[in-house]
Amino acid sequence: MERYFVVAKENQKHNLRIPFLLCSLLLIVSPLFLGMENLTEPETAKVLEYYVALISVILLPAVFLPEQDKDIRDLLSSKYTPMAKLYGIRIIQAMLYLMLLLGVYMCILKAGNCEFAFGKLYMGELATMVFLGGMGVFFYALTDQVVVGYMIPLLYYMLNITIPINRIGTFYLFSMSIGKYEWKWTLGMAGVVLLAAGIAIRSKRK
Amino acid sequence: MFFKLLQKECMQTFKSLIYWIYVICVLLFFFTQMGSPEFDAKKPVKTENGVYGTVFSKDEKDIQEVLLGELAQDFYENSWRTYPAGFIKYVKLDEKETQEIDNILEEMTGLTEEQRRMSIEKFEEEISQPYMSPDFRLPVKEGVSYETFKENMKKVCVILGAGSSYEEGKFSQGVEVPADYEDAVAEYENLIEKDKFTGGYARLFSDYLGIVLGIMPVFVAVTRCMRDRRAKMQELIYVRKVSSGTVILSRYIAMVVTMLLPVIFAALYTLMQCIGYTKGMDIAIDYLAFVPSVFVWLLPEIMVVSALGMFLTELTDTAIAVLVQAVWWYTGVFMQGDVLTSGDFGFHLVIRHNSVLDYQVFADHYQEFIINRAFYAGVALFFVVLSVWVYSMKRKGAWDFYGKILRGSKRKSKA
Repeated sequence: MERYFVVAKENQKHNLRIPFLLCSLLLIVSPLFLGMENLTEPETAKVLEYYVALISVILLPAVFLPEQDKDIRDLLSSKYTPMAKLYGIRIIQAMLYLMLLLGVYMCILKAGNCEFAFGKLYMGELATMVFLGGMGVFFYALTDQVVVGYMIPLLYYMLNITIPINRIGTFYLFSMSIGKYEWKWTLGMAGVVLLAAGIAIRSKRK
Repeated sequence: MFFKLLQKECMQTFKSLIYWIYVICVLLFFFTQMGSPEFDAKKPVKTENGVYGTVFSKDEKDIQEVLLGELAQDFYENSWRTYPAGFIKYVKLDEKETQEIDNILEEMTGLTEEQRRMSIEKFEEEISQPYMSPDFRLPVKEGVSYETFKENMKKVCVILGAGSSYEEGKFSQGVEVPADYEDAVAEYENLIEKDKFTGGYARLFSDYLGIVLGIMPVFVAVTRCMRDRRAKMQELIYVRKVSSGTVILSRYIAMVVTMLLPVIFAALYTLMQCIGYTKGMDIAIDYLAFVPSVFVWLLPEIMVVSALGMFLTELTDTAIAVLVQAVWWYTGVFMQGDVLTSGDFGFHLVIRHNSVLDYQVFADHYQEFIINRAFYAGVALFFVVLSVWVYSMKRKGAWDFYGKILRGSKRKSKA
């Protein structure tokens, strides 16, 4: 167990700091162009789904960045701790940061007199984040290219803006904005599958 | 040497997975968004309902009536939206501010809140198809000058904050009003005579492709610039005789040329569709209409997005350019609000003109359009020069972001 804490500590020190600061910065500047006071539930959902969800694309695919260099990957593969566990720890850490940032952001919205059911929106938004981030993790693992890890989730996001909702169905990213909370189950579960598949593929990559 | 390198760079791009994802995405976006547009080269006929779309009017009476109608509706619904930096922002007014707007409306229209409410409700009852109906309009009280209207709109802007539709800069561009039969015929004549039919479709083509080209090239540029490091070829290239300018320029031109290929293909596809549609009709089409669309409208966009991507990647050796471009694209696309044929080109990266018609609006703002595109072409060249400089500094060992930032005086040339 102690070993895992050391892994998490080193990850925090060397890899997570910059993505976390970038995400924080994006959220800090949001009041400049997003209304954060007196919003109704669909309006709050819109802010979360259209804007806040994007921070997962920064935080989650970054978990594979330290082993971008194949030599480092080879070195780590030769160690006692399995790669899958390393990635698992990093993903849990990134998820904790996402949960923290989302929680703080939603508390600020609540303090701004926005009317919404905290738990429902929090879980729904988390599902969107897991899905978008998981997509990045999966495609990064599949292609071994960090750019693809950012590209595919952003393209999917664009697709959701431009094509009719019925073509995407339950995989629609902005479903809470239209009152379809139950659709988030699909997104959340698909996100977990993508994360697991991403870790599995990346761990086996030579 | 340069051309040999250019050829090699083109081949490298063709072998890149990201490039093919780029091609697929651009074409997919093109076929799903534009694909086979509904071609229409028939002269409008008079309809019973008298609906002929909309036109832009700069008439002071129209501007005042449309804006006061909008203001009264916003007041009635107590829903205030602004676009301060591209994103929609819902503004909530307190009691004092609401009262101030009420006073302005009463001063401008002479109608009390109750009278306006009744007027809006009556209007809403009368309209059967909300999307085809004209905007709710309120006439100005007799004796109120346009100057007073502008002063009052300024007050509204102070209350709502930046980015509302009541800003003079926006409404002075004109407001959308329902077109009559004569307007529809004039639009048709513009499309056939001035636009030579293909001109209108070329603009629509650029409008759609511009959205996707506002972000996609950055992925190709970042991948290409990170490739040397990934393949551990950086130092090997650094020691070559070839100048930094030649390396960066050949890389950049190769990227831009290869990324332009699917755009040219899509343009030819739409041109062929136009030719097919007008076959047998007495319409003289412009076969070169897509040339300015591709090379004046879309090329500067590809240039600036790739140049910025290349510069930031050379500078930081990270994929930060993706994030920067994503933010720029997001604000660029959402900044333009609802009206996509207003001719408000400004300094938007993604220029919108989502209609085959409205030739006159485009012609009126043509100079603004050219300045915009020339500006971005200039910015692109500036970033290319900066990239050459950063690259040459890295070769000299002065800039090494790969671990340490700035070696400063302890320079050790890598070349």
